[in-house]
Amino acid sequence: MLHTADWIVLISTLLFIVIYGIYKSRGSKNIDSYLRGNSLPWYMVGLSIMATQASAITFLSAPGQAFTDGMRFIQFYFGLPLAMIVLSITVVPIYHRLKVYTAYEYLETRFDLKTRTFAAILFLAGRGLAAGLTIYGPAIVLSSILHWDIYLTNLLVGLLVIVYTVSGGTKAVSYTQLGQMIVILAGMFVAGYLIVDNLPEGIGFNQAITLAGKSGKMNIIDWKFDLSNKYSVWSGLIGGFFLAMSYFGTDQSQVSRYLGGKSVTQSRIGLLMNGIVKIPMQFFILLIGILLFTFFQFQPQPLFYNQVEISDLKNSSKAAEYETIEKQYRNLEIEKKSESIKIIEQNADPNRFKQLLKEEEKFRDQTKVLIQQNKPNLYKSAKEVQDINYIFLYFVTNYLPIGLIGLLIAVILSASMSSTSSELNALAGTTVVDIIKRSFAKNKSDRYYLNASRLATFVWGIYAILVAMLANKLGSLIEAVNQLGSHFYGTILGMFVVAFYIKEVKGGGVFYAALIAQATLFVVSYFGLMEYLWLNVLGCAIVVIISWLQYHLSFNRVFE
Amino acid sequence: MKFRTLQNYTCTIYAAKLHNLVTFPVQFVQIFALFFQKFQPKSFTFNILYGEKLFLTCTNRAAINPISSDNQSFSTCTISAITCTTCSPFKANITHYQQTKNCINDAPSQIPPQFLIFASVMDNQNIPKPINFRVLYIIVAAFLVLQVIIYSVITANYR
Repeated sequence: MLHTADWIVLISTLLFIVIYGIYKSRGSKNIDSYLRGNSLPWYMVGLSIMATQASAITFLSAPGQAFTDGMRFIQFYFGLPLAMIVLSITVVPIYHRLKVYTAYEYLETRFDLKTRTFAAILFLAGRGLAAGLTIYGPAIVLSSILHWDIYLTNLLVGLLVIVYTVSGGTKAVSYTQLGQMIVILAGMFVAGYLIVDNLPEGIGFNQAITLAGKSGKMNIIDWKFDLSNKYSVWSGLIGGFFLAMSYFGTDQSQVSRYLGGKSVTQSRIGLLMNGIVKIPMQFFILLIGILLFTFFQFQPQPLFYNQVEISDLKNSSKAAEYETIEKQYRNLEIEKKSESIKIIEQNADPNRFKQLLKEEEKFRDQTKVLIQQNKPNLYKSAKEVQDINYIFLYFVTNYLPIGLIGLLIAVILSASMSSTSSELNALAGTTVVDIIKRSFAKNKSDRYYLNASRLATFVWGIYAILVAMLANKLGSLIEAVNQLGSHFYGTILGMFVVAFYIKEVKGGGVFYAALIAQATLFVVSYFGLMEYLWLNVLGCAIVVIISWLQYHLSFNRVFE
Repeated sequence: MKFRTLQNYTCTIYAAKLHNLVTFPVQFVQIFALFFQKFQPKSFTFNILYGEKLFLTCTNRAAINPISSDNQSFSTCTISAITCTTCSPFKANITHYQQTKNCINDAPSQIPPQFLIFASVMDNQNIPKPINFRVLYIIVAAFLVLQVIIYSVITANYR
């Protein structure tokens, strides 16, 4: 549980964020006038883009990702700088010239209503699922500090976000978003420093990395081309490029960021700044996970990082079995520690250490089985029992100095709340503007649309809570968010690529091409024919090729 | 009509209440003429706003660039009325406008109450040097390559 001082820091920081946000947002008629004021210099555009992408999930989940799977996740970002270059050259000037408000609006001008509606629906499908995952982020934090069940905190956070969004709280907190990101990053630096500082005497940064490397965690680069390999240089460069093109080029949450630039030049430089800074920033965040891996070779490590599950287990009929496993595990820890020192000090053969890691994994798996057996209604199988998102939080709550814990948790919570709230806003906005107002309830009063927006926010909020209830079975959140997006982004990107670059193709063609692409993506994903980053390439390619063939083989009459 | 000097090289002209649309292009030309007399700019950009929407831009470097407006037909008519392809305001094609003015008259409800003309004038010496984006793109790409190389070395060294 948190120390009283941490509670004081946590509550006063949250209050400060809200009060400062309300103070800063006074006199502003709406958030759009602030966000799309077309007055931001390049560095603000760049920071805003980064703050939008880096939600609390990044900070909670990425270290856990590196802790369990090593550094190879960094390759996921390799396509991003290239996408920033292409977007700067092509898309930014077009959007600036057309003064688009929503990206999907442009699709109706270029193609037709059904294409716009379909793109909006794909956006809603992807973003709706992602909103569930972002509710899960702060729910984990609350669950860890209050020791409440994650399902209860999901519900609590979800309802709070709904109330907060409907009452317009997003606007206030948006003003402090950049400050929050700076505090979180500074907190991560302090965490990194403290991890190294708390290593045993004679073991520093270099030794920590050496041990992680010998354990196979410094697997940053993999040159092997394999569609079934989740992260390689090629999946990152090609798949990551398409994912970044789609996310930054067609997702309204990002498009509005760089449209807020003073000029095309400022928007372009802002995007390029993201292209320069993003990979080193993610490298650093993943490195925290690597340092944590070494740290926990010398510190008592829990068998399962979600302590709520462990305390439930200890109070169940499985307690005796768990205690036996833990006892065996503590013996293994002693040997593991001694092997670690041998590797660092004598450059010993790491095989024994690797073998011990495998044995450790068996104990963890046994613990997961017990947790599953303890809650068979929640977990269908032990594979659904995951703790990857709790690893960094476990360190924060157990090892950071008093005061800093409260501060970090406060900013992670508020950043999560504001990003979830923004997502619900975007979902409600697209539902009302692109679907209801455009196709079902034209020419109604402003009050009607306002009420419709509120209702849509509520409905999407409930949907997000339901998704969040399933999120603890998904493993790494940072991976899950991108996996979900990859099921839709390729198709959306394909539609925009055709809109921008294949002038002869008309609405009917691209609409049917998008339908085929989306169906194909679901089939390919269901049968696991390729790893998720490649879905972005596939979806885009199908839309472009079928649209192009449709025109050149004169199928227009069939489609239109 | 009001002139306001914002900076040494920037001014805003408000062409208020141009109700008489038949003479609109004429007034437009008058505004440009006054502007040129007063400021004698070496280069210029005119952004003509219709309500809050940027509806056309005219610079000495590019042709008029029609921006989509709420009223597409109005915008089209007006743009074809001015037709300053070289962007010299003195070449506004009044005859062409008169031929197409019915198009405007067909939509009287959408006639704007006023146009706001924002003119940015820069002395050639003060025009900021354009950023060479090609160099920036190369830097971003080169930095990516550099990182991949560094990460490859780290991967090899900490195996």
